[in-house]
Amino acid sequence: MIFRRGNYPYLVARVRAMKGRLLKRDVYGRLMGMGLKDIIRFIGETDYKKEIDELAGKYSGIDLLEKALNLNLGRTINKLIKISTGDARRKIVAYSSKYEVINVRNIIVGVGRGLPIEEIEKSLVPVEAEPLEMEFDIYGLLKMNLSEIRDELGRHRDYRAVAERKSLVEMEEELIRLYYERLASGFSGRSREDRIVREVVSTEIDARNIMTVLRMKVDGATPREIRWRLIENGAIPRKEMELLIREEFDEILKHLKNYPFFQYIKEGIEKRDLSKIEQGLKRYILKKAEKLAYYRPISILPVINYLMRKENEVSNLRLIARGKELNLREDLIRENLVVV
Amino acid sequence: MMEIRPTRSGLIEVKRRIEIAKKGWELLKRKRDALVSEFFKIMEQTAELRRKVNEKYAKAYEKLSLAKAVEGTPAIVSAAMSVREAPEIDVSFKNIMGVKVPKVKSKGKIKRKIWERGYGILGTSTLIDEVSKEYEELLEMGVKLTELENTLVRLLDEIDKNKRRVNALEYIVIPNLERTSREIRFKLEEMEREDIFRLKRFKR
Repeated sequence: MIFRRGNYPYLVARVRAMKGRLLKRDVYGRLMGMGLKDIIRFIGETDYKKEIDELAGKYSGIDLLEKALNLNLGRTINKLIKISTGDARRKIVAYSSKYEVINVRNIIVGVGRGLPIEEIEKSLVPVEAEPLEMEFDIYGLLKMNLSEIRDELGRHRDYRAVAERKSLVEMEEELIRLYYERLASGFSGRSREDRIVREVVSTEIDARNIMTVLRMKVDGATPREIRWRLIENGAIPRKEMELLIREEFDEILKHLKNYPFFQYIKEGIEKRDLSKIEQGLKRYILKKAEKLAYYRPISILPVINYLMRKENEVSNLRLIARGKELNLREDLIRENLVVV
Repeated sequence: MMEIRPTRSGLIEVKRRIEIAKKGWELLKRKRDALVSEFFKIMEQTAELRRKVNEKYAKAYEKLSLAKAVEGTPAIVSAAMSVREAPEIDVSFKNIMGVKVPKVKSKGKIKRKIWERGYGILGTSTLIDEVSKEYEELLEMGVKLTELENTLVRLLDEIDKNKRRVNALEYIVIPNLERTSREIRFKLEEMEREDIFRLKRFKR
């Protein structure tokens, strides 16, 4: 069997052009000074124009923006899948399959808790790929009840563990584990590029695990209650996590000094503010992902870096727009933006 | 004038009633003063708690708005709907100066641990925990505030009733009794004078 390497030179050139269209840092400052209508108008003149124009007939205000952002993100990923070949395509599909898991999770949680379909749809990212890669018709799942969804999941090897979980909460937690397994398994090769992507994924897993431990320890959770929620394949060895979960909250905070992300979470630790620690970890992950752009310019790394920056941009735009709609204090919005 | 015979025994009866009425009036005044003092004490607590509830509400709402902005409304609504059981409230009564006032308590826990709330921890952020905690604390304060405000209403009601009774005794009952007493004394004195006059005439 011959593995086609992939059309990296062409792909990276296209990604470079797409990256040029990402919003610059100073744009966020300008958006902060606008009202919601002006923000939508402004975004409607950027890379999101097509989606805003398409959906403006059916939606307005914050709904229009949210749908347009999700649709644009989905189309961006689909475009990259379509223009890539061989190994490059396989890796982009592996990266974007996390959206399938996110979408399945949002549907399960929404259906399980009785949310109306229109609310659930708002949270879905419409990523399509060939039937070979994508396991579900996501929109078909929306029409099912929880029991039918569970049966459908049970028919797919990757999702069997999810279907076997008894409660909705356990299914949710299992889906997040699957999300990271998918990410890690897509980059499981021995190449330096795969190792670097796995490093970023491992850092994300560490961030998730540390936040789980801190959040639960604040409420006095026992190690047993925390243990089953820990995600495997983080950079922090399992043995170390085991020691961490046995400590008291204050000892854990002291212990975090030993990790490379400490500078990013220092303020949160001093103020004992878990939100600040969480934001610091997000910034650290994004900073770490920046090295993807430079290590090997003609490889999958700049593509993954672009995707992460695009996701972050969508997340920031959503935050600013929703924040404006809800009359949130400007300093609160700024504090929660993740800008590298 | 009350229906009492203008006789010495009638006068004794009226005097007895005046004494009872005055004692009653004293007691009711003391009760009124105690109720008013209790009322002001609870009013201070209520005003302070009301102020805290208003502050907490503003803080909780801001946290909720931030969580919606960062996580999106579907995620917040979904987390909110994961809490299936609303806390049950138990209402019993206690006695303050003879006034039945409510004791409001929640039957189960209002403040829950993060893993008891029913939403997945791995897929949610700290913001959702913070919003949940703020609203749980707000609900607890709300339960206490309900008890206090209800107590104030009942105390006020009782103070009102008491005031009417005190006033009725002070301005109607006691004056009426005293008037009756004066009238009986006047009548008795008249009768005595008549007797003396009759006796004098008889001696002549």
